[in-house]
Amino acid sequence: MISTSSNRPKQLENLKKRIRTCMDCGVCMSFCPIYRETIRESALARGKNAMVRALVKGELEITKEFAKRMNECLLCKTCAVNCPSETNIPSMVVEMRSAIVEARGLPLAKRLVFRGLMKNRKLFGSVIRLASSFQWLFMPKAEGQVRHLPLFLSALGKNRRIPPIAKKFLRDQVPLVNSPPKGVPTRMKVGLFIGCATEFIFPQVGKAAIDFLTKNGVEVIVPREQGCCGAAVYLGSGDFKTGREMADANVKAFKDVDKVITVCATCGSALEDYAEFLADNPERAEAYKEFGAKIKDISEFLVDELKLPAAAYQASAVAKGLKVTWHDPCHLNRYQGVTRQPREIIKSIPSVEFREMPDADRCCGMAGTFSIYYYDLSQKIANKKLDSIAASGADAVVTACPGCMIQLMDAISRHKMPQKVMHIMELLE
Amino acid sequence: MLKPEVISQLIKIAGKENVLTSKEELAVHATHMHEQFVHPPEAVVLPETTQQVAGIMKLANEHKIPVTPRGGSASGHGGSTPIYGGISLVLTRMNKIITIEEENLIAIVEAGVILYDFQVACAKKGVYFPPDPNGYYSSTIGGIIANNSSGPSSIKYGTCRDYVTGLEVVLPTGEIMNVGGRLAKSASAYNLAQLFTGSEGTLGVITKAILKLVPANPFRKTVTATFNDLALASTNISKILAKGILPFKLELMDDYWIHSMNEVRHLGLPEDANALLFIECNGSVQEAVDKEAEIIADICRKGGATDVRVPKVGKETDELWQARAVGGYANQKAGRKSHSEDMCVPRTKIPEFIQRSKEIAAKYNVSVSFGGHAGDGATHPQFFYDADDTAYQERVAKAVDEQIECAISLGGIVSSEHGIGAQKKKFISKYLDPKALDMMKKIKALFDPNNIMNPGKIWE
Repeated sequence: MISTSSNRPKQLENLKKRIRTCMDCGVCMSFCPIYRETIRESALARGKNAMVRALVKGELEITKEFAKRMNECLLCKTCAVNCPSETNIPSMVVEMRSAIVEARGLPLAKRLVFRGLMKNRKLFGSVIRLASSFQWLFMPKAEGQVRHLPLFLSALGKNRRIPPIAKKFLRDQVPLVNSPPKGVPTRMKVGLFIGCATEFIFPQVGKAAIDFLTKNGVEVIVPREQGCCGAAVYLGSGDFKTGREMADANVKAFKDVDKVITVCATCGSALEDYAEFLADNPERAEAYKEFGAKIKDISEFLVDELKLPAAAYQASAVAKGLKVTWHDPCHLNRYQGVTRQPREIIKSIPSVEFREMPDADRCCGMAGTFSIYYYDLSQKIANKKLDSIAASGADAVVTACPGCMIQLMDAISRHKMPQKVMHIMELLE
Repeated sequence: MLKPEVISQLIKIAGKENVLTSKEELAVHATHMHEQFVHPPEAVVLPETTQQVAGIMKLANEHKIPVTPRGGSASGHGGSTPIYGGISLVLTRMNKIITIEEENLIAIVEAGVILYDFQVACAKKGVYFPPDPNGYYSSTIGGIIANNSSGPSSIKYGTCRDYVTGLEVVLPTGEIMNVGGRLAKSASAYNLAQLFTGSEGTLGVITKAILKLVPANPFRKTVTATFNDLALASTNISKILAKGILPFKLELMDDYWIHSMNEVRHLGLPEDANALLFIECNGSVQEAVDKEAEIIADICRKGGATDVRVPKVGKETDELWQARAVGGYANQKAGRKSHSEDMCVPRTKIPEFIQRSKEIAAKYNVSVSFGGHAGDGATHPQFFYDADDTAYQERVAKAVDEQIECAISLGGIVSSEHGIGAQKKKFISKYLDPKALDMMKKIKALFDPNNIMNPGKIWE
């Protein structure tokens, strides 16, 4: 029986084949971080597929609960890489989030933030700046460099301890064209994609990337027209319409470069995935595909494309003598297939000792908008990561995703653990 | 639907967060690998304690509500699907490993522990729990006991039955009963723990188990051998046993499996071969294990193998066995489904069974693949079909039935380790002694007079 309900989205037709790929074996029970915490079948990939199957058959409709269940996914892809029949439930979840937006509309808060703020980088910056100038009002400075920021924007989860907003945003610190210093010949020209978290919270990461690249003969263009990657908008919330506008803007901003370097795993995979989710006409399909091929994570670029010798990797002042461990961001590992390169870089740094942690590829539980709605669950997942970090005996946990960094800083701070959280570029001089 | 007062009493017993009645949750718990067994429950209850299970059972018995226990729902024959509605009793929140005593070689675990988690916990303590159904990522301890499951290692270590020494069960009346105990040996009257092992949730709810363990053997070695003929490959099994070698695991697979395993783990097995043997030895002395593997490799070479390999111990070997575990699920892409069967035939009849099964598949114009723990005669023929092609599915159903009849005629049985479930109940009268059958029905009626425990399973 096919439902004739008016809220039946067109995406369902395309999912008819895909819902049969899952054979209900339940192997995902051993892997889904959310299922492992909640022990509820509807959190599981198999359960989500069952709901979509029932929706396609007309036995379910897109209700509030249905939407809630589809939001309850980290998109970490741990199920997908372990699925014997290669079922990609996270991809189906993203499609369903878009169907939910079509059927039920986007919640007001998201509509304001995504369509009003995030699309306009300048305005977004002003609002963040405004929030940052009042941050002392809401909470005194907590341990180390983290603060409680209930206002900024409850969007990051209540009582989350996040680093302070940067005094000077990245694009105010760097010019459009960053050339290699005098005496260093230019080997290559690349664009640098600055994600929101790098721009507003961790500008030093972007700065370190530019300095390292230019020092090694790479000219770095930082286009002013670039905006948010859209991960929270289209992957996290199914707002494909705004996602397309963001995608188009980014494609245009980087039209003059052949390579786009990212220092954020989530941004990198979101930029690569425009073609999979947002291409609604042949022109966009072509443009997004071409754009996706330009995207390179910084470690991947340094090791595989620039092929720097080991001696190029020297410790920064803060990194000297540290024992460090590596956290594989889901969006770098399972989405972009980058795991070897960052380890190679860390192992090359003479005065840094690398310690592999157990389950380095286990999701930290951040997952952007997921942690807004499921903060407590997100923290439970983070706690497992903390056990791994502690077991490694490292002084610092290093990664390449500002989202993971925020999550790890928060969790480490709550548990009063001593480890620093650093971006891989902060290790390098 | 269940009456609102029943739902509110369930909530009182198990807590609001453990009673699910939304349409979404019911749809999620209706699923099964095979469409014909899909049926939603009227409520899903996830108890966290034995006392809660007792309360739920008492209530269900009073109101004569069907109760279908569910672990990971890894069963392929409808065992955990609530085909008559009622309550889906999901035990996965009872997931504590209470103790693993490596010196006593005993573990006490709750029913909802995932087998894989238990295996990992055992390995950390240097002990091993042998029942190893290939669905270990989603099978629960309660589920494998209820179905008397086993896997590749059963040739050496036997089935789940051999490792259950005691159980805590909740009877349909809500009474809690402890049977058996924690000692390795017992000669004390009727062994009720064994009665519940393999009972498929039809006598009561298993909530806790006392399990026997064995020391983990530190050394392993796997031999892989490919052949041009499935029947020829299977003749090597008896030759290996005749040398006095009892392998740890012994698996027989056909060309479909070779392809599937290459696909899921990129093993690089020769795709032009028609049959494959995986044979693993284990032991506490490296040299002895190496020597056994050498003898096995030699037997296979002389026995017609086209390619014999002894992969490196560690990652390479682990990947082979992982591929064996999940390879059967691999060809489900793009709407293709498979039905995995579970007959056990005498070891010497395997070649004949394979030959006759192929004839049956040809007669119904369907495709079939063979894999199984041939070391003990357990075979898992797999039939493939398109989920949209109902005519084809009907032919598959007929072929399966005829193949089951064929297994029985060769002195075999319909289930070696998956259970009867909803699918095979029509066959058990064909190979069980009528007296024994009658006694079993009386036992069922004694334990469950209102027939609320997993109705429609094992029995019509």
